[in-house]
Amino acid sequence: MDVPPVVSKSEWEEARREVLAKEKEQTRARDALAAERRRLPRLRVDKDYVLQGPDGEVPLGDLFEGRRQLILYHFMFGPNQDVGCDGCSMVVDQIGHLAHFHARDTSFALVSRAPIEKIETYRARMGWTIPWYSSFASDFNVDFGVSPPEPRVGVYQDGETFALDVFYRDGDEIFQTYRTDRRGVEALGSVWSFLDLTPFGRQEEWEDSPTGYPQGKPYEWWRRHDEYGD
Amino acid sequence: MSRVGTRDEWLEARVALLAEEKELTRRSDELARRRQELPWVPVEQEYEFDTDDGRKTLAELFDGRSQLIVYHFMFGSTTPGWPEAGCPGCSYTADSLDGAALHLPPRGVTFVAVSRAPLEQIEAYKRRMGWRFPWVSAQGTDFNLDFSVFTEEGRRTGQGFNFGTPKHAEEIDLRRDELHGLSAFILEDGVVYHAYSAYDRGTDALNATWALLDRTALGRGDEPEGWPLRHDEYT
Repeated sequence: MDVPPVVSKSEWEEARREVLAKEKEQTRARDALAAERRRLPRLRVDKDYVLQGPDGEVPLGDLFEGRRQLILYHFMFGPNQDVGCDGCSMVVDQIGHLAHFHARDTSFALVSRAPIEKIETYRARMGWTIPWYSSFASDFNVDFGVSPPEPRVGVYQDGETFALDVFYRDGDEIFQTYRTDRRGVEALGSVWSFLDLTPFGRQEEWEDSPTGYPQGKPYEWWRRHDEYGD
Repeated sequence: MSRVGTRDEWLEARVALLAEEKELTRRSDELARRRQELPWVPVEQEYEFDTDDGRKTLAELFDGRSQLIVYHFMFGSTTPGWPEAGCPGCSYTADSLDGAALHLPPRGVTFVAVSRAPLEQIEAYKRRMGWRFPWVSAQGTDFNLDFSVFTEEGRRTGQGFNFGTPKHAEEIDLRRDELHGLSAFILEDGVVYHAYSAYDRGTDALNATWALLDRTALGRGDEPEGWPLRHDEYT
């Protein structure tokens, strides 16, 4: 193995500082990109999708749970499978406590093509509490391009793919604002990284957002996850 | 609120943004490569930590693996919530790290949080929050200070947070204040080396497993067979 040189603390600090300058550049580039995302045009969702939850039928609008923003992860779980995709499972392991999203007027949900009974069994096994809905009886997955028209026998997860969509709700109207997949999903994990994809961003006053967006002081809105209250 | 567009307009705007996102991804990859080229510094100081498995040295925290990521979790007499609770901002980060850290040991990376609070307080708070990651106490050691400043002058004055970045320079005294940060170590032939540390916004993309691997001395490497698995499937 060809490893880097061993040096003194001061030499290491000098090398570290050079990388730090590039890291800061990258952080600022990420912020600028998030600002552009907040200016993407919105797409109206014209169809009335009805998904299945553990307690029965759920219209797409109910996934917002009364909040204005919804992050929706298309989790690969084919209808003929008994367990969900392992890579998607790692993604879900990294989603932080939902209380932090809720504090930013944002709900989080998973949607898969597997029937709700299979989803519930797998969810219990993994110990997740995140809301998870089935699109088994809906065109939702096919329309959003994450499922083939018919489940494909013998293909991983019946040919499902993964993606992450962000939706915005204005009264009864639902809009899609964002979509990412593959390495765009890999970069996610912290609550901030997800909020950077939402129309309102982190909702902190330093952000370059369109006029009138909700914003407050950074480092003050958060609480320990059991301290948010209602 | 931004305007409502047709599918074609939205797609055009989204594709334009995608080009910039891809550029950012490529720059992240390049940065990860630069991080892995950082020189290593042998850790000569002997540290001992209180763990739920008794006293352990820094080398023992590796738990048989070759790489170690330390999350410097602010939980000490000057943090909000003391003595019952750790820092709310670190707790927010820990909520994401808790799930991500499950996927690191199979890649040869041990993850551990380190705080100055006594172990009993750490364990009580960890139970309350429902976290699973290992968390040890550095009470009575200079571990947190040693991995927040790297110059003699910094140690004397308590100044120099985040490699001397002017932001926060006035308000932070590292001798007094708890520190939020992340450090990466590597163990080779029985010697522990310090390879990386980051603070402040340098840590805000860190909670995902891939982003964490990008911070280790060896990086992601080739993705082995059988990784990732569901978190209850790793043996």
